[in-house]
Amino acid sequence: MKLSKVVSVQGKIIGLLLLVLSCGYACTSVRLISEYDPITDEKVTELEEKVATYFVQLERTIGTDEAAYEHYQTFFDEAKVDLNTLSVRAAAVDKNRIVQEQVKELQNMLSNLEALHKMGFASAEQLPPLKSAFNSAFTAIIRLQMALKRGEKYEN
Amino acid sequence: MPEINTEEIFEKMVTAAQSVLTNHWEEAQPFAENELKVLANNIKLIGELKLQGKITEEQAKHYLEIQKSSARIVLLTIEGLGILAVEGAINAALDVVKATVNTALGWKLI
Repeated sequence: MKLSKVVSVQGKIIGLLLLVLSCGYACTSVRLISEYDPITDEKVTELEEKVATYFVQLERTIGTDEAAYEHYQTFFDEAKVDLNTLSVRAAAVDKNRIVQEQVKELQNMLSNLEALHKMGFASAEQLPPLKSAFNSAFTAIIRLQMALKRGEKYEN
Repeated sequence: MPEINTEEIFEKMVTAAQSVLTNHWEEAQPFAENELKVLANNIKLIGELKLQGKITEEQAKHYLEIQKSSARIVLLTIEGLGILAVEGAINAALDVVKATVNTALGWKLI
């Protein structure tokens, strides 16, 4: 075998070994994104239920005094606490930039929703774009969590 | 005032999503298109509420911020699905050489 070919083959083997070693001693897989976190999944699902309940109650009471922001302050307080918990949790998980950014965007959404509620909702027509935007956001976050869960097979 | 073209907004968002997920678009397409269509329709609805005087300009800005955040969350999921696909490909490649490498070395490396 020519010397150049031997060097080339050796280079490929060294490259492969470096790739393998880069994932850590005796590791079984490469991780580019966070592992599935059941607590994040559970908290997001709980928050989704609270937001769904908020819209159902608001739809029922809109146009009456009961729809006023004051009656929904507890919801906003609880949702902010939940999002803070999620934010802390997301920051503690390794390679979790995407979920951290998703939680930050959810916090923005809630803050804008609160601002709108403080201004007051005049009719039920104002709710569908808000409700479906939250639905899309929660669907996306839960979908990623489900995909991360399936990704666990590479750990076995 | 020109009417908001839902189809145009939708196409632009799909193009943006495709650029995030170049090689894995096929897998993400059904989810991405469905969610981005909802967002495009919402933007149109907000425009109509504003034109009909049912919401103020300030309210419209908050509505739009909510849609923007929701769209970012959808795009972040699409990005995550792409990373997971790449991760899966690398791990599948490692699986293929696992036995050869471990046998050659005489101990379990992979």
